[in-house]
Amino acid sequence: MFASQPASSARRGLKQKTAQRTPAQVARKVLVTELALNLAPDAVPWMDDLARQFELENDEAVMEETFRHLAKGLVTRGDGFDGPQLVTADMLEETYNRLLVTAEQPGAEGAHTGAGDELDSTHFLKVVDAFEMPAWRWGDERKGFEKAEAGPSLAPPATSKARYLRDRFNVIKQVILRNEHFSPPTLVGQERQDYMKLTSIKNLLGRQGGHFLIFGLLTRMEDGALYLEDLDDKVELDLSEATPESGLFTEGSFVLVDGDYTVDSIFKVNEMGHPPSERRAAARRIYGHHDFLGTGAMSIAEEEELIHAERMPQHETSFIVLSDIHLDNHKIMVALEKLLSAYEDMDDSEKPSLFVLCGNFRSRPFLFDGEATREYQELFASLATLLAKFPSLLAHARFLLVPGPTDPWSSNLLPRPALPESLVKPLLAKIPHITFGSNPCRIRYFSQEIVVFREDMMGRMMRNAVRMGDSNTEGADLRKALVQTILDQAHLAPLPLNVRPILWDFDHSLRLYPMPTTLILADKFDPYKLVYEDCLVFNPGSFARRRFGWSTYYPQMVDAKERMEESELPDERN
Amino acid sequence: MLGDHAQTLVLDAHRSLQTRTLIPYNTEAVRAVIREAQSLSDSISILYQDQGQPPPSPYYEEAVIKAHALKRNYRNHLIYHQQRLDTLKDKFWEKGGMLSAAFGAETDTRKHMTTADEAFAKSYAELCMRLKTSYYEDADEPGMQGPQMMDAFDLLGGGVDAAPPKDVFVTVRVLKDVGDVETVSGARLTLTKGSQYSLAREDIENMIVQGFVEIID
Repeated sequence: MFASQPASSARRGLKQKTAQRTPAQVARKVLVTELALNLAPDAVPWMDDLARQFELENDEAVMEETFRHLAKGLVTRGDGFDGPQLVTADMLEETYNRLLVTAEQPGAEGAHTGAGDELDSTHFLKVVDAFEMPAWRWGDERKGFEKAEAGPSLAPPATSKARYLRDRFNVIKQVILRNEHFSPPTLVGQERQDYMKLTSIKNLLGRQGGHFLIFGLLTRMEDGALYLEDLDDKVELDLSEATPESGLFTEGSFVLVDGDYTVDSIFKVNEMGHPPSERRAAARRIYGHHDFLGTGAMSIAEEEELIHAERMPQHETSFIVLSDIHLDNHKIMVALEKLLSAYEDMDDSEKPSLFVLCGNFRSRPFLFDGEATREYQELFASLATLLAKFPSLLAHARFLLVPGPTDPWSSNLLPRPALPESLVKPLLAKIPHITFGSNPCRIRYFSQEIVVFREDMMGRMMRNAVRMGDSNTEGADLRKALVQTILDQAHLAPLPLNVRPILWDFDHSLRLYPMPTTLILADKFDPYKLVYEDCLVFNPGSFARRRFGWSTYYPQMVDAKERMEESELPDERN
Repeated sequence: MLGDHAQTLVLDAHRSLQTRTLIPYNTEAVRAVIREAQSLSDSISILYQDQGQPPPSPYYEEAVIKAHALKRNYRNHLIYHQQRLDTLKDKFWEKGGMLSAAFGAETDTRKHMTTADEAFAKSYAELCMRLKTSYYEDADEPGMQGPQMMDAFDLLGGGVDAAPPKDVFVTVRVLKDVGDVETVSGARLTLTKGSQYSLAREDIENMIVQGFVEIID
């Protein structure tokens, strides 16, 4: 007969205002009866604790209001739909933290605590490993992204090799088709002929002599000739009179080609261009409900709140990005110590909250033998000793280590897993907040998505760019071309598999769609900083290049251009 | 052809109505309809260049035809979206107002939802919740007498099944592994697939609607 109790006790509570209900009873009433949620056994004790912590247990009305606010926040949170079969204490905790953000908004009705200062910005700094990102694939049938049913695998079936290219093709193609210039006019008239009409390669069959615009993968076949390939056919290209538009055209990139289909069934190219790119905001408006990172989907409204929060004065912070920290180089260690001690001396509020240290961590490549393994262990031990000299920095900042192309283990595949635990034990033991990221890895800070990629991109892309007619790339700004290529291709490695091997099933972790807020292309090439389509791209450059230089990233700046500053140690040679 | 895309939208809406499912959002047709309307409106305003003065005879008829086409596009566009919203609302009520049961990641509905659909579903749920809880809040006001309506009647609780329950106690079989659950009375159940319980209907009502358990007669 226990079942009939709550109803009668609730009724009693309403009729005689003197009868006091416990927090647990109120919680049950609000969550189960009112909101039709199911509770896990740890949920009610958590709410009980909350009520006692803020000494609400004697004020039933306030308690009810508090719980209701919390529960509504829980139900309407970002991934509310996937959500709780059961309400657990962890979910409540997470909602509670998120509501604190809302409480910081100006004019927000005072949430139950009313104290926005309690918001801890470290809760909103997350590092996403490439191997943990959910796999979103393009679904032809629904013309949208679909979550793969089975998780990605290191040894996928053969179909996966075709699928990753089809995914890249489709993602870019839907961006093109959405572009105004590629949409057919709707009224019959003169302009009807003028718009840029994409023809599929299969449709060139038997139409020699015509002028077409085609889109596909630039690739070299066994006969050594360049071909353009799309989902169901290919055509040989003649580039002798081609005019390239801006950007680098590598084999393995998807390009738009305009030209004539000759009688010999060769496509004579007039112009070649990269597909148009889509800004982060535009892509988020369409695919904002997909959780590409695995940290929870964010609606546009929530994003705005987070943007506001990240720009609050008390969250002003900075991220330090260093690349090519050769730990076996004494000069670098001395310089690193100098740099860290400068930050150690700062006030707590000015200290950076994140250090991104990119490889390679040794000047010579890693070879798979005992000696190199031992040396790496020693190098990380000495890094741990160095870092341990700065206790207040360690308490305040997080460290993220991203392996470089020649760090262990020696494999060329992308994405590259994080540094193996056996090598970095000394760091794990001495440094409290340290994360080992994959290469590439992503940082989620409030609303921002920062992609960190350590790879000598400039050299690799230049080596594999297709030379065309009399094109002269000497005068062009290579940095701009590189950045444009990567963002237009919406991919970190638009290169053929034999040049840039990748794990087929993890191709989605290299995808740059939607465009990130910031892309860090750590390269041994000179440092640079560019803003392309609202996306800030920068390269900190090698730490020990000419002077000891690095980049400081200020996430709170409104203007993307101002978010990054290059710094260097004062010259101490004289 | 003029109006073809708008026709597609209406057919889609009809299909959705008949199958009682949410169908994939027809982005291309919607965009085409909008662009068509844009160019129709442009050409009408060209015909009406003389500040509201109706154009002379052959152009006047052209403007009328275009205006009708424009109106039709507009209506079809609205019909399509209204039907989408109605479908979402139906799904929400069928599952007793629980978002995760109606639009959870594994449901077909969810797979076809767009960003705007999700935003609508969430705010609609919030609106329903506000309506529902407003009955509770009134209870605290002085002057209200007698048992509260909501003590006896849960607005969303029974889903769309409006028939009154026959018994106070029901025997249920668990259909899904859910884990430990605490009911409104504070009793703890372990819901593992296949197990059976005899419980007060009030305790288990939500879970019946959400499809965690089924009633055994």
